[in-house]
Amino acid sequence: MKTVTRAAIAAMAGLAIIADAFLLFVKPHLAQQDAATGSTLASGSTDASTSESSSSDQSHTSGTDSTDNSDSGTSNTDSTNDSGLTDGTYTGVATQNKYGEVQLQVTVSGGKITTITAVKAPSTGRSQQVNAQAIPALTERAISAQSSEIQFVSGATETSTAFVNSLQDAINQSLNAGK
Amino acid sequence: MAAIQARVIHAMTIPFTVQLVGNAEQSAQLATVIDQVTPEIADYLHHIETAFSPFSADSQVSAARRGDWRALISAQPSQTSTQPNTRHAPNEPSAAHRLPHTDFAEIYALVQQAKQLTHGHFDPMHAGQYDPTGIVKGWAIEQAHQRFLMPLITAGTCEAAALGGGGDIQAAVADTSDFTWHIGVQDPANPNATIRTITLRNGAVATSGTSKRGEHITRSAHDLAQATVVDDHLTFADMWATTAISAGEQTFRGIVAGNPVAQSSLMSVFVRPDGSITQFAPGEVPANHA
Repeated sequence: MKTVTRAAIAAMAGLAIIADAFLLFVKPHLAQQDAATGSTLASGSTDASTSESSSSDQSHTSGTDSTDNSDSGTSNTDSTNDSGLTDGTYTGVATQNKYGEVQLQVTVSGGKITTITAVKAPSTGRSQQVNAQAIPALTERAISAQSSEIQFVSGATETSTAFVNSLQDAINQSLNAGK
Repeated sequence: MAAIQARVIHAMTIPFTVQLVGNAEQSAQLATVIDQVTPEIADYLHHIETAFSPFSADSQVSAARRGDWRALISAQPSQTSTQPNTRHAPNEPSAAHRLPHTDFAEIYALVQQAKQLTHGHFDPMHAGQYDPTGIVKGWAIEQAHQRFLMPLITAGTCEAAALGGGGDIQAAVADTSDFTWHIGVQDPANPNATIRTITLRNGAVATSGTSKRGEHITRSAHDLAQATVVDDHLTFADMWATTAISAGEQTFRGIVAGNPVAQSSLMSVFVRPDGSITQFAPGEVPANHA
C-alpha cells in the first residue's frame, strides 16, 4: 500500500515538474519567437532616440497608447521595414520603488524604434506610504565614531587586484577564524 | 553568541564579500550554507557582467550602443529567427503591445529615473554612448542579496546576511534577531583606516570617490573627496553617492532638500578634500546649508 501511495506521489510530482518546465522554458520561448519573428537587423539600422527624461515626461500619461512621439527622432531613415518589429506603442511593466514609478514606452514606426520614453508616474502618496513603513529602519541607523568592531568596509577604492591584505580581507579572515 | 562566516567572489574586476551570521543553533551549518550559496551568487554576478558589459560585442548594452535597442522589445534580441516574416502590415499602428520585463528594460528604466532624481548629475550617457555601468553593479548586488541571501534569513537558516562589492553593501537582519551590522567608512587618505562607523540592520551603504573603478563621473564640482550614502536599497544609495561626487556638496544638498523621500531617509558621510568630515542624518538637510 505504501509503495502504491509513493508511486502515486512520485507520478504527481513528475507531472507537476513537467508542467512547470513547460511554463518556464517552452511557453516564454514561444512567446518570444512570436515577438521576434522576422530577420535580425544588421547592426546600426535602427535608430533610437532616448528621451531626455526631464519634466517634459510628466506630460505623458502612463498606460495609454499615445503615438504622439512617433515622428520624433527619426533622423536615420535608411532602413526598410525588415526588422520584424510591429508598428505601435509598446508599454512595459511599471517599475515601482520608493522614489516613484517608472514605465517604459517604446514607439515603433515603419518597423523602426523611433522613441523610447521613460514615463514617470508621480506617486507621492505611495512614496509617503513606503516612507512610513521605513521609519523603524531609519531609527535603527546611526553614524558614530570609528570602531574596530566592523564587518564591512565601505570605500571607494576596493579592487580585486588590491584586495589581498586589504582591510576587508583582514576582517573576513578574522570573522572566519571566529574572532 | 553569533558566528559569522565570510566568503569572497571576484567578478566585474572587484571583490565581493558574502557574510552570513548565525546564532548558536545555526552556526554549525553556517559554513556549509555559505559554501553552497557563494557559487550561486558568483554565477549570477558573472551572468549580469556578461549581459551588461559594454566591452563584450554581443551584449545587449553593446547592441544599444550601436543604436540597436530591440532588446527592449524582444526578450532575446540576439536570437536570429529563421522563420518567415509574419509581421503585421507595415505602418499599421496596432493595439497595445507589452514590453517583456527584462533586466535590460529594468536597468534602462532605472537609469532614466536616476537621471530625473539627480537632476541629470547621474547620466547613463557617457561620451555620447549608453553606459549603465554606474548603476548595474549596485543593482546586481541588491538583486543577488534579494535572490540568494534573503531566502536564507526567511527560512531561518541564518540571522543576518550581507553582500558587499567594491566597497558597497546591502545588508539585512531577521526580525527576530538582535544583530546589528557595523560598517566602517574608509578613510580616503588611508585605506587601512576608517573614519566613521555606520550601524544598521536593514539597508545599504555606498561610497563614491574620485578613484573608484567602473564609474564615469562627470564632475561639475570638486569639493568632495569621498561621499558615503545610506539608503534602503543599494541601487539608490550608489546613485546618490555618485551624484554627491558629481554635483558637489552644495548642489547635492539642494537636490536632496527638494526631494521629500530622499530628505527624510538618506544618511551621509562626506569627506572634503582637506580631510574634514561632514555628515547628516534623515531630516537634517537644510536647503541652504553653507
